[in-house]
Amino acid sequence: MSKQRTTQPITTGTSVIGLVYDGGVMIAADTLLSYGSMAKSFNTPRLYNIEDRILLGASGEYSDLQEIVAKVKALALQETTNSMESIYVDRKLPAKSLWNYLRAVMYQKRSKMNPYWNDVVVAGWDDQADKPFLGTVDKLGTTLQENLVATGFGGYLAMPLLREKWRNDLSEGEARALLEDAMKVLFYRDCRASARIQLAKCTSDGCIVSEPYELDHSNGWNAPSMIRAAGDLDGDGGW
Amino acid sequence: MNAVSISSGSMCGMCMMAWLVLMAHPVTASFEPYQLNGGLVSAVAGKTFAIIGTDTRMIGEGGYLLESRNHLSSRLWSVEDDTLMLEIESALRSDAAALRAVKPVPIKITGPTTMVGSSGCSTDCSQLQRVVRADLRAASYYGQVSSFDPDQVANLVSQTLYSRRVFPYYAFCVVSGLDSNGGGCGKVYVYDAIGSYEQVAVAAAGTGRELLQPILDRLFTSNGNANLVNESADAAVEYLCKAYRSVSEREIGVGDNLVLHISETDTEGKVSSRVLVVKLKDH
Repeated sequence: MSKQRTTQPITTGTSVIGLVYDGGVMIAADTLLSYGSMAKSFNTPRLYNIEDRILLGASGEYSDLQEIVAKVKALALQETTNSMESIYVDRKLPAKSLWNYLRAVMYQKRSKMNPYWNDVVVAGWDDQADKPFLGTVDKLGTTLQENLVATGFGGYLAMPLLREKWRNDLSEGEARALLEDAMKVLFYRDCRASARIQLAKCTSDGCIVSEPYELDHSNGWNAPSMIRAAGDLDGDGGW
Repeated sequence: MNAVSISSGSMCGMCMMAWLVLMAHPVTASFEPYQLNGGLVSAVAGKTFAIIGTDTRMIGEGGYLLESRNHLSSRLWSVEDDTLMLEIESALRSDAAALRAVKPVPIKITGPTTMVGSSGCSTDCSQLQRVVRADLRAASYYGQVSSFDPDQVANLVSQTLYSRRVFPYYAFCVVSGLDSNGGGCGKVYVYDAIGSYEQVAVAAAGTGRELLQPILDRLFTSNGNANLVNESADAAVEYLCKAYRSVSEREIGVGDNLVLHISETDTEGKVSSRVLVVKLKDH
């Protein structure tokens, strides 16, 4: 049987969004696993805490994400146990190193025309620069380091909102509110998204990944634009 | 269409035809290994200077998604290492306004003057950078090169690009630097994605190249030596700013900031480099 190559994602997760705030980095994703247009599973976390130092999340093919996380966890473990220095110092894998490693992995897979079909978000604390780190790697190995990231549909729906409201001195509460707002918009307009989300943050003290929780969308369908088209609201009836 | 008359167990003639057409031309999903990430790099060679510049916009999949206004790491790189460009990228991310100000503040730097700019598929540009730098480091370590002169680097870039002739690095490059053998005059080279290159006075590569190159051809003058311009470094900076502003008006893949790396030889033969960050119009 000839070697098979990935040509399309089958079981997928939708957008991951993230931002850098004053003192840390925060990322969010919903927990819906889609199987084409079927909503396969409602409680599938896609954000991972690696060695309490790095956050990893991805949209796209879920099985490829599981592979990536397995590779990453093995690498992180190797860094802390097998590396020459680990006998003497308490060495942890830096987020930026992981980001670069993933770049190499994704690039190699794409060069064999058999990619991991994911847009990966890597977040952590950059000890060298003493700043939060947030970066993405896509299925071609394209790397991007930015203050605001969004994969998939998030790039179209959430990013404009994040860019409008973001400041580099956001507090943690403001950052969370902004991300939740963006996730709500994604729930309304991305048909492969759900209101059950997961938040994760990383500061110089370490990482926390929250349990999945439901966004309050109880009066969501009562928003004026959901009842009457926005074009109607100013009264001329045009659209 | 008289749908009511169709029985539940059979397909009407039209449906059968459509079904057959679909089966005859099966739709196969496929993976596209390239992506155009935007960006326009350019370089100018003068008697005592070499300038290389790039915009900092990065476009994502589909050609319309703006992923970053502060992207530099795959676009402009030094032959030595990437710390300078990463620092500038980081400074743009944290406080772009301070870096650009009303009048661009030059950042003084030391190190080799040879720089490479590449635009096209960002991941291939990043990979090209790593491969070329690794080769240069190895060659330098084993004493095969003593200085990273632009003509040596230019040849290496060409060889590296051609080595992937059957699965190209989608990276359109320019190389610029001061020639230590030529009395410190500037040398600029321009490439296509598979390594064919030539030395020129003024070069552009990337999205919007068709818009930029004619403007630069017209603004700059050269006589005698066709590979050097007559203008001074300051005039060249002025022209590049004007030209990039024009291109960014009409080319969506170009815009945001212009980063210029200028290497100059003074009258005593001393070499200095600086980087300017210029804001392009907000759009």
